[in-house]
Amino acid sequence: MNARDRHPSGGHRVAVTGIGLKTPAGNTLDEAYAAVLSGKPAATRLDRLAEAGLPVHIACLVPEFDTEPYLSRREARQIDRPARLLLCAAADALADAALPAEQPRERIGVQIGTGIGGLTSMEEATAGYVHRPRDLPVHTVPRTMANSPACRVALRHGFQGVCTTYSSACASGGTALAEAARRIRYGELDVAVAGGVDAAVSTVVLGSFARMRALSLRNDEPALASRPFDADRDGFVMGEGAVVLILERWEAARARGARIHGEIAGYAENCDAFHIAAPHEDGEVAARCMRAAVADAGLTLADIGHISAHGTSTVPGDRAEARAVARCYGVEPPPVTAIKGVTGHLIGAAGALAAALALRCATDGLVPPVANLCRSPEADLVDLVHGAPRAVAPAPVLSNAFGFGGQNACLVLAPPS
Amino acid sequence: MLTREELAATVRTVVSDVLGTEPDDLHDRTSLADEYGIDSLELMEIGARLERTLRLRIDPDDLLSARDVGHAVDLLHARAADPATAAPGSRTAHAVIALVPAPEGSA
Repeated sequence: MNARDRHPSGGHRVAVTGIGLKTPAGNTLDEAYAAVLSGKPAATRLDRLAEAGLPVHIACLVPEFDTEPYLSRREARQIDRPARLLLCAAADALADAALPAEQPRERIGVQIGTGIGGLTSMEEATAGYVHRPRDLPVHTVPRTMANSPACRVALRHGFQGVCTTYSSACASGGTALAEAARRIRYGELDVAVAGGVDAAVSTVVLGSFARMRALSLRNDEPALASRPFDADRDGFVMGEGAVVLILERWEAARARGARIHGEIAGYAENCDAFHIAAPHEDGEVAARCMRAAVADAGLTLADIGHISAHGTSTVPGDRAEARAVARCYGVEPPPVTAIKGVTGHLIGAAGALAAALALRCATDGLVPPVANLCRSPEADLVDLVHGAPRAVAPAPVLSNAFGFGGQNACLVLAPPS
Repeated sequence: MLTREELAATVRTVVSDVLGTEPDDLHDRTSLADEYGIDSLELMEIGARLERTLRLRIDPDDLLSARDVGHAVDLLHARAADPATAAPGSRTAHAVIALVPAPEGSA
């Protein structure tokens, strides 16, 4: 292996050569990037939520798009919304990567994170058939199983490498990208179709999160509801979507002349082991995860150009994360952004969306502003970007994905070099 | 009771909905296995829908053993006419099929 193709770990460097997404901020990377830079929130009021008797009437939905080019009617009627969105995002990512036709299919694997999986479909099946179980649709099990979206992607394209669905709550997308990068780095796969998906804007799921007081109740001002790190935040806004990245060995991507979006240069995962839903208040374990990801990339903390925070717009989550960043950096933290003010919280896709956007931001040297951020009780701990994008030198980005259960997954996304 | 023509129209509608095609694309000689690669779950879904629509108990074997759409319609038509009788061309319900040769001398 050429020295510049070698990762500091001794393994292969991991190139990102394709990105596809279906998200509330846009259905292409360009759209989502523009939305995040402009700080324009995607949240809207949904009458069906109010009519269902939920206290929360707002969410961020994927804009409608024509699925005809992506899915046959036969396929579409067997699968649920998460699988549909993932198949579409994966098709876009694969088109972007333009893998050569002779790429061995048994060396391509699908690695997907989901926090909620098929629970929403099972909710529908339960509501419709609990009193007449003999009428349940024949496809109920294959539609609702958590690994259905990932396996549908493998099935569609004939990818016979390892296909895994990861579930680490809101960290799932980060977990899947870290695990996929590991499999490329150490030679288990040549190509990974990796990312995250969730689509769970349903009565039971929203109602359940609302019972934890995790969701914003700013029903009359949806655009102002998701406001990470802002003093007036009152919870997250549920989003939905699918985000897929195509990972391959750096030298293979270069050899075939692929357009390289950047590199998954480092990753780390750990667990607070503190509380089933609340983050550890002092941020110590999350800080360790961030440091480990940077070290894994062979970098120092000073090499990080900015941080894409998990920043969901809940008081305990934002505060613990700000403390974790401060714990890492002390007096000179890099600028911090949080995209969920625009996108809402895509749960299992959140970490993958943050990573996809971080690659573009790292390359362009732009830090998006945190939407709706006016004044912050964490401003003394971290350097929060607000109002307008901030220009910085192109540099690696540290991207955090944290989840219920104390799940921490941190990625270092580097511009192509 | 439905005429064979009416039954055929119902079958084509149900099958086309499951396969995401149009009823007019399906003919008596259309083989769902060869032309559409239909799988067993889809066949069961078709069976379940036909049971609901026709209010008729359908033996899965009637659908599994059908060579083409026309044959399936014939089997269903016979079943509807006389539910107690196994339809012509289908395997006998609950038949035990020997997978190993019977020992010498046994019946």
